[in-house]
Amino acid sequence: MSSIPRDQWYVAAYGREIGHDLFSRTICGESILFWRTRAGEVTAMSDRCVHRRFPLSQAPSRLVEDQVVCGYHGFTYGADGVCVAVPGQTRVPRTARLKRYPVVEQDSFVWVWIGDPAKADAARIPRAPWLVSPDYTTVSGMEPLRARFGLLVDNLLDLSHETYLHGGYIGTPEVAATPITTEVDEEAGIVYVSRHMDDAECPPFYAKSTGLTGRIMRWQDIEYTPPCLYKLHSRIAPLGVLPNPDGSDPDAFHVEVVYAITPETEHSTHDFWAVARDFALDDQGVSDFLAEQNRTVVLQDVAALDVLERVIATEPPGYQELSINIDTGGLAARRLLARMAGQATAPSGTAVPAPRS
Amino acid sequence: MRTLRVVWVPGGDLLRGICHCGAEHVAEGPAEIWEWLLGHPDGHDAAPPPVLVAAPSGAGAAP
Repeated sequence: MSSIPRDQWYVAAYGREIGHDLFSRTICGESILFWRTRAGEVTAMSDRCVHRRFPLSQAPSRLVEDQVVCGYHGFTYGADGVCVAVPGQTRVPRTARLKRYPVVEQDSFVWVWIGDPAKADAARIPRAPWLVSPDYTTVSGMEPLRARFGLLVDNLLDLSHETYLHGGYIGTPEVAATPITTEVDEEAGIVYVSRHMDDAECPPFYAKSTGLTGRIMRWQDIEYTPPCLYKLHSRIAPLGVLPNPDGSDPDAFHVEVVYAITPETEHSTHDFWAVARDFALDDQGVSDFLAEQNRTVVLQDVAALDVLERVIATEPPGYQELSINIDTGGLAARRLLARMAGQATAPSGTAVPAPRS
Repeated sequence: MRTLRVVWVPGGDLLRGICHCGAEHVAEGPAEIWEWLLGHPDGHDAAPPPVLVAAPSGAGAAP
């Protein structure tokens, strides 16, 4: 049984990746063809010609105005996926149409619906408004992960690994040492994990970008909306500086770290990452530094999770994981994902009974 | 909002689960605490249980 939830929205690309050229990406095992029409709309359809499956993104397939022409036999499709021409005959078979995917461009991402199109509701797409806000400056990227998406969920829900895997970048001793609070909103299907470090070493990632030196307050508030969107609300402040009673927080630095966790296949993942900050908005040096640092951190995760995938893929069945307090949020996320995927048991073998009301 | 909450009891390694019904339960690990939370309403007494104190270290402690 697949561990990938269907009838869900997934990030397929950044909007900037899709222009008036053929663009293909595999999402949840489905090869999808994208392009931006002359009107500026992103369109998404199957990347397989209905005739003999030739990939429509593969040269010599080509885009002619708003029609894609298959490079194998010339089947031609409009932006709605309907075939408008076939070679050698005037009659186009009625069933000659490509599978179309509901698509929404929002918060710099291109979201695609995987599942029954009749169930697609754009209002359900979780938001990440900082990524396009004029009050924030954002750097972003995407790294391919040769590991199942659940391993990245585990990774991001338990940030204690920063201390060990990302020392010298974002990891300090206090991350692993500070207790967490976990909440699950059962109705909205959101997992929250909070770790508030009120006296912590300032890691290079924040020291060089904010200019703060010495000890800091560092708050990490995770908000994960399964299956795809993960947000880390990071607050950095001098010791003792708290938000005002009205919620304003002018003396702190805020970084919104956003990940879109999109399965490519059962054993590979698109790891989209973005870092949005509310300070040094016009400082290109800070942008370059944070982009380089965060990409390095992501690649450290990728290296570790790629190894873990190979370990899991080749181990004998029945391995029993051990979970401790730091895994409270990760286990909650696993349960929600298993429920979405129609599974009764989480991948680790941990029993996850359905909640009773 | 139906929220399940797990807090790390200060000063120790125990976890406290707080159900949306108001019941609370303390356990030693996340698997046990989630099993209890998701088992609602079984074993969910709305009255908070007494705070557990971590057992003294050292083998052979008297009961």
